[in-house]
Amino acid sequence: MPDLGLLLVQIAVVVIAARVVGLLFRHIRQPQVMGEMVAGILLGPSFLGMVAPGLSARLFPAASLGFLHSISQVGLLVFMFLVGLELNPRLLRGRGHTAVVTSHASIVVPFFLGSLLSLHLYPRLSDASVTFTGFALFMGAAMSVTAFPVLARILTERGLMRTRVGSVAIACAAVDDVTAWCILAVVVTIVRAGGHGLPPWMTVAGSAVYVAAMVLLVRRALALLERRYRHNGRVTQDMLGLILLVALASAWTTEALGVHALFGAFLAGAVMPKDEGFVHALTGKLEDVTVVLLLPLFFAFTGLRTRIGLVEGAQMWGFCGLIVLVAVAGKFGGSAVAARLTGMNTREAAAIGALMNTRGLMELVILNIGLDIGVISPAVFAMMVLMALATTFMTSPLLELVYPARLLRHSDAAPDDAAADDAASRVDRNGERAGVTVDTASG
Amino acid sequence: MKNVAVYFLLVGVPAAGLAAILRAGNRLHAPPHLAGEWRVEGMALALDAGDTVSAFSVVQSGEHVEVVVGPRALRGRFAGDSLTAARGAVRMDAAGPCVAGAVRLDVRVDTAARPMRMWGTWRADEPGCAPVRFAATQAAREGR
Repeated sequence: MPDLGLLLVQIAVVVIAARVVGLLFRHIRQPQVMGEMVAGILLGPSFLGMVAPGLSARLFPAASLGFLHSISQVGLLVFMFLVGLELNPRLLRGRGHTAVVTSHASIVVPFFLGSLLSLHLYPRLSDASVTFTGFALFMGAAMSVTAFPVLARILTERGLMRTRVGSVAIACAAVDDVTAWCILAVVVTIVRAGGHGLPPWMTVAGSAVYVAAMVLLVRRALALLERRYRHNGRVTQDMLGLILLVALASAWTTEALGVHALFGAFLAGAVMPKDEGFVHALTGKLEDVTVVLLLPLFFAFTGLRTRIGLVEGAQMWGFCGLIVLVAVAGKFGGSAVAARLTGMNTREAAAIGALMNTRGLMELVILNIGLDIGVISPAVFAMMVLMALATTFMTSPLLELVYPARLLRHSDAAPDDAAADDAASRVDRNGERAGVTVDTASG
Repeated sequence: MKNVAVYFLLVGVPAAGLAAILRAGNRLHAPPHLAGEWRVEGMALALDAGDTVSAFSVVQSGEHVEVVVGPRALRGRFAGDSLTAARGAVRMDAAGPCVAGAVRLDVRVDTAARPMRMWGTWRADEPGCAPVRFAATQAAREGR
């Protein structure tokens, strides 16, 4: 049984730290989620455990972390459901060749460079329990992530959602999100092959059948919810209960298939009706508690398992620098070159590169999966967390550097901005925190 | 036509390169998997007066290892079959000099044995602290 008193103190400390550090980061024009991620690191062995080991051991004893982990995982499931819910297929329509080539290049180039880097890192930072294929594919997938929610937040804050740069970037990020999760599903299947109780063919076949069933059957059935919403004018508690049940059942199914519960939650959100009012009402009901209470617990849990102390000595910091360099070169470089070669001017192309380089919370989610299944070691985990922080932190200043806001706002508006308008309007209506993709900047 | 060429250059070529990387990488070797709990064979390891250890754990990141013996964490390298780890002196309440002082671990690992075995010496860099010889067996592997 958990020590309820200790658990409540832990939650209170985590929420306070996340709010305080998040606000500090907002003052330096960084997304709040950046501060919340840093707060998690500060509560872990890399800071609190070093400056006050006694307090750290009393506040976060190893035996208590299981409960913190369980609560944070539930929060993460709801968050991934919301990310899927906010995914709007309209973002992908009518964006032209630039968006298609840039989105694909922004996945394949960092994936390739991440795998190439694995040739150097695998013999030095992995061990024989992990195959090179699993390690390289995971590194590639982790390098190719873009934080769709943080991107939407930055675009909205800067009033760029309706510009050409903004609309191409958001379309590319949506493609990246879906693709990265699909790739990761494959990687998890390969790494877990045989070790999860199910033979690999059953995982692959079962996943394919399940995705098809969700897209072709469940999505149609869920359209009834939209009709019900239009009839009632609101998302009732009964509807919410049913929706959460669908999300949990989907998460359970993908976990049982040997992929990961988070894929199921994301998929459940993705097949939900996309009526703007319905999405907004559902997000409003789920978002605040998830973002203010549960996600900081995930950041804290991530921070508690991030041991920057393991990155010790010139060689290890060299590896870390190399990871950051490859991550930026792959994502920023790949996206910018593709955008430039498909017709954008140099400034616009560089802005696309800077935006696509944002990794945020989505990277932390993927890294935690990697550490859980043992495909990356604790030191690689710490290095990749530092990379996620660095690339998220550099987005705003880099964007301002390559394409100052005053120039971006005067660039051409996108031809079809209905979906971008949806995302922007969710921020406009709620002020501080609106749609999960937009205002939480959690991603 | 230009877009097709760009697509081929930025998507097709790296995707083909990935296949080559995976083929080349499968010839690489990573160090054996040491991470997890190790149980001291025979008598518990007596590090200092009243301070005995019957198990310890290894945190591994490739050739970089951390050996956690109770509250002490020694960092070092694992190369071939030799593991060396050390830690500088730290302030530890109620700990004798043979534990709180600088310590060093030198062990050999039989990576072919199942479960794996290691044997070697725990040395405290303090006068009056005799080297402690020990052997240990891998009890639980960390990971998947």
